[in-house]
Amino acid sequence: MLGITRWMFIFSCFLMTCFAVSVCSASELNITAAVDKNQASLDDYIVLKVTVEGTREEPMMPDLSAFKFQSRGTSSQMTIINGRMSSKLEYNYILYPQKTGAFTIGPFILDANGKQIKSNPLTVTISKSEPQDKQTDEVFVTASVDNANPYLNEQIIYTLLFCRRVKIASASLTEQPSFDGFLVESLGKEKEYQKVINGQQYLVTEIRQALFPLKTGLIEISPSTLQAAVVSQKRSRRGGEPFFDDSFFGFTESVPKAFRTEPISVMVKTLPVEGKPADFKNLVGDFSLTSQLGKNRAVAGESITLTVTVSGTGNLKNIQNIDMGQLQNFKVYDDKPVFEPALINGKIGGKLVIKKALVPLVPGSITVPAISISYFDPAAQSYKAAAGPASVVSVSPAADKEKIDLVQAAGQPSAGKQEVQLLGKDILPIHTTHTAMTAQSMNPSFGIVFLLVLLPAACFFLILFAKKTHDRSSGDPDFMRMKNAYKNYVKNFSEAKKALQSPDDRFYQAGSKALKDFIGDRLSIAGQALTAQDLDGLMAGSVSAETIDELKSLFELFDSGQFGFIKCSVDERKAVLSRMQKQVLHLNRILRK
Amino acid sequence: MKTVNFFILVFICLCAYTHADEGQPDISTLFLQANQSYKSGDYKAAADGYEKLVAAGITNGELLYNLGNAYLKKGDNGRAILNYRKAELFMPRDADLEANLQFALGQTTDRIECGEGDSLVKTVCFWYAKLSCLELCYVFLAVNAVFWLLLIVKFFMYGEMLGISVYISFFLSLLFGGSFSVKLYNTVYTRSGVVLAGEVMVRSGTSPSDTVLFKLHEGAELAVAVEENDWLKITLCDGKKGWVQKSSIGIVHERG
Repeated sequence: MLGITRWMFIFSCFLMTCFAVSVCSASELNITAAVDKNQASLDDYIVLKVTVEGTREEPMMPDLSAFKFQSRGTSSQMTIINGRMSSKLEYNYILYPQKTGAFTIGPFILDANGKQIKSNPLTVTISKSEPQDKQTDEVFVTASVDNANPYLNEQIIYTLLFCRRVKIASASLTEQPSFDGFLVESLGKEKEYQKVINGQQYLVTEIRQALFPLKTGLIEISPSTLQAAVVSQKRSRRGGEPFFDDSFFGFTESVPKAFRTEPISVMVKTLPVEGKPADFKNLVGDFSLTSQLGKNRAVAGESITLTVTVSGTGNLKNIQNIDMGQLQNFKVYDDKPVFEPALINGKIGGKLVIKKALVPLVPGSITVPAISISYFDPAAQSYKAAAGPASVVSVSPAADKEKIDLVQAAGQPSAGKQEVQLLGKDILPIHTTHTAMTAQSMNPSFGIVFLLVLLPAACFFLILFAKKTHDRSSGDPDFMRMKNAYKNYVKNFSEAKKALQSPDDRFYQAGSKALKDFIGDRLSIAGQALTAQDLDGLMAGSVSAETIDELKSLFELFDSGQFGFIKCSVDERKAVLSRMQKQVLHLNRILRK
Repeated sequence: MKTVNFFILVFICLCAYTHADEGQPDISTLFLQANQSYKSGDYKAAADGYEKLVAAGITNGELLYNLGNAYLKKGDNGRAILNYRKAELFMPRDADLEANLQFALGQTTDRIECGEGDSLVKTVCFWYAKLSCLELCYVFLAVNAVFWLLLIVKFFMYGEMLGISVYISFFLSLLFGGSFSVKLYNTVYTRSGVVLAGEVMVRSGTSPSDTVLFKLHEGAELAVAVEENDWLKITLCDGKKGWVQKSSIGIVHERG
């Protein structure tokens, strides 16, 4: 049973492999592009399908700068027609038009297997959105400003309303309006509420922003685009209302739509020249000012805090400081102003607290003059001044009678300290030292690096080898004998050479000693006891028969010279030495312990 | 006769040397002149002077930094970034260079969103970004030598700390060896570039009639993947790809 299952599994794998191979081999590369419509308005959207056949490579996107596009995923399809298989991969996109005119989409380029295949180009025409009464639509967006004719720096409120009376699956603001020419301040998070418009109840999302015009003349606020997936009922085939009115049961579908606001024109007026105060610093709105001294009695040299609070609605951030002019008998140190933003009657404003440290320099009754700021009130269309009261400080002399001078006042802590402000930006200077003239190498030389990497390793292995050799020689006398065999032979050989002319048997003794000691040392045996007959037993197998015969011949010759009556001439002796040298060199190569 | 020939040869050499000296100022003079031009506000002359030095074969981080400064002051932001990037290969930890490079990058038009992966690697393997290729090589060679030296010492001495030191030096040797190899590979085989022209069209192919995929502006940084008939296939760090004409791009480091 198990065997059948295993064979079925193998067969299935085989079939699947054949199937996959046939699909891959049968499919031809192809790419096509199609849109659901060739004409659309700016409020509309286009569904784009790019179909790729024969590969899973993603096509290269063409220039789509006239649209905002959003991927809607892919779908794949495999078909078998008349035994021929083909695979298709569909890339789906939603295009939201951004400009009017005729545009060519594509061709899409497929780069697969080293080949480039292009799709058919598509032409679409985008027209302006038709004006219609949006207030009757199920979903609409509107943008407005509360005052289209403000003064320079006057606060206006930009309101974006997203109204719908159908379900929305998702919504996002894909195109923000450009507020070029305005200073923009957010008025908090978006609000959501119900509102009845033209007798219909709508759910409204409201986004509000405060704008301060920074230049005069006509300024246009560009439209905003909102993309939303509108949930709509699927029509039943049988007609009538579906019983399960819920997306869970699949009777609804979400349709992506784009909603665009109209551009808004704002005509910014210049501030009137007439009546403009000398100390006016572009403050526009409605403000009040209070000032308060920390204490009314002080010792000369002691710091008194003057707190000036300006509150109201308008571009309050424009005030960096309040100029008090030259205050007689006081040294003045400014602190960093603190701005606390707040929403007042739906407009941005708040409270600006400016603190100054006043150090009286002389004793007596000193008056701190009234502090005021000038601003333009757009409601009254006139310049106004917000002022606080004047104060009097009673200053007593310092106890140590020291004169309070400028140097001492400058030494006062913290009151006069300011944060370091960045006044400009520039690059750091050039390097002028002559080190800039020395040529540097970016990459190391490969040969040198290779050598330096291997050198320590080579040293290690060299020392390892030396140590091993040393360890071996110090513990193995036979090895030392074998190693020094040739050295000893050379010494004995030179003795034999010296005795070439000798009339007695010294030549034969020295020659015999040289040869026998050498063989004895190499084989770690007593060399002098060797005879010609021993050679067969000792060397057979490792040395050739010719060599053994030659060695035997030399042994016999030396023995005959020592113990017999055969004497060789000098030339013959030289030939013997030459034969012996040849054999010893040969043995030194091949004879190992 | 040999003596006469020797004197003639010396005379010819001296003449040639003097002649060369008269025709063109030496590199020290060129350097001082370029510095003087920079200080007097003649940034074009300063840039030309530094370029001559670079063309004369002086590849030096500080010189390239000065060249970048001259271009930046001249208003040529693309070439400034290109030379700062070249200088970075020699002196990656120079604070002035980093500050000026950031200033130059702040002047560019294109905002290219790169992933966090690269900066994470730079934080974890901080030595990779902080050391130049040559410095990494020196560190690797030093650590490698220490490792083998400790192994040799281990023949003659025994100690627990010695054993641990061998393992640590082996690990460091692998770490710096790997880092050096990767950096060397990147330096030799990876090409990066900077847009030098005011605006370049990135197309879908190597023909001027191919579709414009997107536009890049002066100072935008990119990686060069392929070169084909005066066209470069480029990749931005956010994944966008396309072909641009080679003449509009400055290469930070040529292959090889």
